[in-house]
Amino acid sequence: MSHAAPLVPVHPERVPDRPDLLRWAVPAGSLPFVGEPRAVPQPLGDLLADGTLAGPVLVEPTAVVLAVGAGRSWAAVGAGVRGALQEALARPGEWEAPGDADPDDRLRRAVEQVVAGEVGDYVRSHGGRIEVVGARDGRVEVGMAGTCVGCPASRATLTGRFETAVRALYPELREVVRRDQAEPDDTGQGRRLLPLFARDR
Amino acid sequence: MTCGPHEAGGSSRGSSGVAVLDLPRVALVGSPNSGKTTLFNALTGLRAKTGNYPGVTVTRYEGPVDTPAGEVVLEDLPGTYSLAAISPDEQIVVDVLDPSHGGTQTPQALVVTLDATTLRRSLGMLAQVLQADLPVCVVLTFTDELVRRQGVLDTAAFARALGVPVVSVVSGRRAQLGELRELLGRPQDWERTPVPPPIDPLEVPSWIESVLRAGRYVLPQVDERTRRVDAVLLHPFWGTIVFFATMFAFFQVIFTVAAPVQGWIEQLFAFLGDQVDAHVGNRWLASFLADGLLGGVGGVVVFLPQIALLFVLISLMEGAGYMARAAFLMDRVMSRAGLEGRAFVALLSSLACAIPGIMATRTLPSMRDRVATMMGAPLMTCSARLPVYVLLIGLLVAPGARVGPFGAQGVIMFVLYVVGALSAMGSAWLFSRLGRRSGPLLPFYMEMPPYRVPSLRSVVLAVWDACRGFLRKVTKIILGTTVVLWLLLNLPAPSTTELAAAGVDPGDRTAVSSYTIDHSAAAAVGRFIEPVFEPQGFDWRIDVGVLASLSAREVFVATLGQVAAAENPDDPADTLKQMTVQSGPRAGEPLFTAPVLAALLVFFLYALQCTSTIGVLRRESGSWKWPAIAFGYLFAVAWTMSYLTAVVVGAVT
Amino acid sequence: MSIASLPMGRRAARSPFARRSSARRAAADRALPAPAGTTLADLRAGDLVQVTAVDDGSDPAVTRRLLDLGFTPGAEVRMVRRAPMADPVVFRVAGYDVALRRVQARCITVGPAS
Repeated sequence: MSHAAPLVPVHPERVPDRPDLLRWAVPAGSLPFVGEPRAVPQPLGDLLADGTLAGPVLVEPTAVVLAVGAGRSWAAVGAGVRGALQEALARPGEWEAPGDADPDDRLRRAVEQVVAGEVGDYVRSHGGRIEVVGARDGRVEVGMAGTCVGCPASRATLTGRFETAVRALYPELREVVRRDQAEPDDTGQGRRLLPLFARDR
Repeated sequence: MTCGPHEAGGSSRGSSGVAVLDLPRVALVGSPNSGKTTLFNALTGLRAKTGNYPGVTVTRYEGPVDTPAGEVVLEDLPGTYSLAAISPDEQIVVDVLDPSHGGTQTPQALVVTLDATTLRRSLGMLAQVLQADLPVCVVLTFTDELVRRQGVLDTAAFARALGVPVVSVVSGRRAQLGELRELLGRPQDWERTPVPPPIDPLEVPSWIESVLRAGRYVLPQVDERTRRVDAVLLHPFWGTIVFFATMFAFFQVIFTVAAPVQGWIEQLFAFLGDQVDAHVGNRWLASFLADGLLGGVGGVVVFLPQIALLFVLISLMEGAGYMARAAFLMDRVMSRAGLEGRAFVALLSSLACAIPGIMATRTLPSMRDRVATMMGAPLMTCSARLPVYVLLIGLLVAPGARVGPFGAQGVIMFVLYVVGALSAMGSAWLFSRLGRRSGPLLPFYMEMPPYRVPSLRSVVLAVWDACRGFLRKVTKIILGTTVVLWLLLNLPAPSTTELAAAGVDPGDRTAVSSYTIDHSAAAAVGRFIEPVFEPQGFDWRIDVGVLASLSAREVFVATLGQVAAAENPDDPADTLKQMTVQSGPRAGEPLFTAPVLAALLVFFLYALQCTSTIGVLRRESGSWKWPAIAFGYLFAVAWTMSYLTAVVVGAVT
Repeated sequence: MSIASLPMGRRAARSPFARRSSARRAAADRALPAPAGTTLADLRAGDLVQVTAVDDGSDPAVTRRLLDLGFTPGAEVRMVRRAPMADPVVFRVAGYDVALRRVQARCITVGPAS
């Protein structure tokens, strides 16, 4: 018992409030784009055609979100969908990116996901903010505001957590650069005493 | 939010309030060494009951667990690495999980224990279990060890990836069980996986990889402590030395530590016997109570210290992880006899007593190996043979006799031990070969777990369980046999007239008992079967002794003692030497000649003279077939070998 | 004499597979090709390999059990040690240690670790 190419690791996770959807986790970097592809490889195309899957197919940095067709259940079609998805991911060239795709869309989405996710929550819970200024060519520029300014841990947070989290979604990340955004009337002391009152610029 | 369908046959309680049969059932599934049984013991404790699954000798453990929503019955299924079953234990797990299997009750929900340090392998088992259409909850064990060895797991992300509830539990911390108990109360609310994992074992690794990536799993480093200890314990030279030293200590502990406790038990029963003699007027009844009942019960209870001690040692070795190392070192030798490494411990314990040795075969996963080892265990020179050997060797050679630099008595004893061990291996090999067609050839594999501190609770419960089971089943058999033998030796009870007619003083107890034995049913039987052992030169008195020792070998010494004391209460030992053949061609010659003694020694080496052993064989193998086969073939071998010995020794001396 | 002091080159020449110290992998060793049909039974202590195929010609139950134990195609296996009389052998696979007899180890074909 042996086989030629190893299967692409995937597994499904539920989407809150949408029982017809499943977010199929895929390895980061499996596909070079995000969003709704214009075309998919045949295994998935067949499932879309015969109603097993309903469109649209949505690609995220580390997931493919699929909708089960009307009248079908995931429990019944899941195994077949998994196989088709693995087959499809083994042929990245047969996917067609969305029409208005920008090569940096994937990186931008990855960073947005991180900011909206755990790392962002961590920063916000301390009264800080991370804002994405630019994402291009494997290079991300962020601004840190709120209590992050002047915080001695901010660099570690940026390079440690933030960079690691983005790289997990976008393996080709080259560097993360910080551009501080200081508030005009900011004093370090006031910042620490009034974390909740960090004002927008 | 998903809500699984409410399982049929769930926790409905009858309107009359009779709810016992309808308690929700949850089954505990997991691989061996995953902390499953420790978890079971922590949740159920002493309230667990043991039983058997129908038709097989796999022990069944279940017990009640208190949850906020009421009581739940938790069943500890046998540990297994896979649902593709290759042994009866594993088949039980498959049968229980299969709702269409009539013989077993399918639970309402499953709890799967996964060792957090071996997730890449244990998730394979989970993938199979998730195919069952039942709510599943995962319990992660050894998470403390994971962290200690620089492993990492994001439990929340892991749970999301699996789609089922995941609880982290560290063995020995009862406080953490609260979350688990709360979950156990409401299995119908457990989240269910949206799509079952792949079934094909070649597809499962990709699912495992994906789930582990989601959980940001970092494999723990090799356990340094274990590696360092194994560098010594599994070293070709030092490891072997340590191993033999450990086995020697193991064996010595069972022998020497249990002996004083056994002595106390014997004293207790002797005391009780004296009390009966003193206070029960009717001599017949007194003898029945003292010799029959008390003797019978005492004969069983006297094994308890050895069994308890053996199971304590085995549980400690198993729990710490050394058992796997011992089996690993001995596997090559054992495989020559068609057995595997784990059989070594069972055979070794049989040197103390075959009963705990036979019970120790439970550690062997293969039924074929278990049976083969059980057939071999009675041939190991058990402690009950020692009094017989000592008596007979004492009659055979003088204490001072020497063979080269060694005492002749010691040499003979050693030879008997060696022959016993070789015969045990040979017998095991034979039955392993014969069993070849009956069962699949179980591939040998053994996990070598990291060294861990065994859970005290689990050790105590294992010993308790073993002793309780032993007492319950075996008592019936021993008690029954002892009573029957007593009856045979003491009936017909001679009346005073009869005694007077024979010239025996009714007040002289020794004379009366001697007369009773001479004319008892047992004696009649002894004389009747005299032809059987005539080639070996045994007379009816020896035959009665052999018959009596069917219950327990030490009884031979006691019976001969009774017979000799009956003739000469002052010096029974001398009497034995002087005993002469009563009739037949050798009349007048000494009874205990060298060929007779040698033949007796060999007979006791091979024959299965222990109803306790038969009882345990019946219990552990599940039917009367194997004890019957063992008794039959061992008797045949014993008879043949003792005959050959008599002939050879007769020719030589 | 500790293991570390043994000349790595000589040991590498005896074994077809990349020999790893706990620190790092020798790039040169990776390039060595594996002789056809090498199985787990042919390894020496410390060898790190990858499973290519699992097959017990006679018994599918054995094959299935080996797969369930973690010896799946693509899995990394390290040979840890042998018993004093060369059988059984301890391997590290899927994050745990397991002992197999040589007759079972022979069912598992391996290639160099990637």
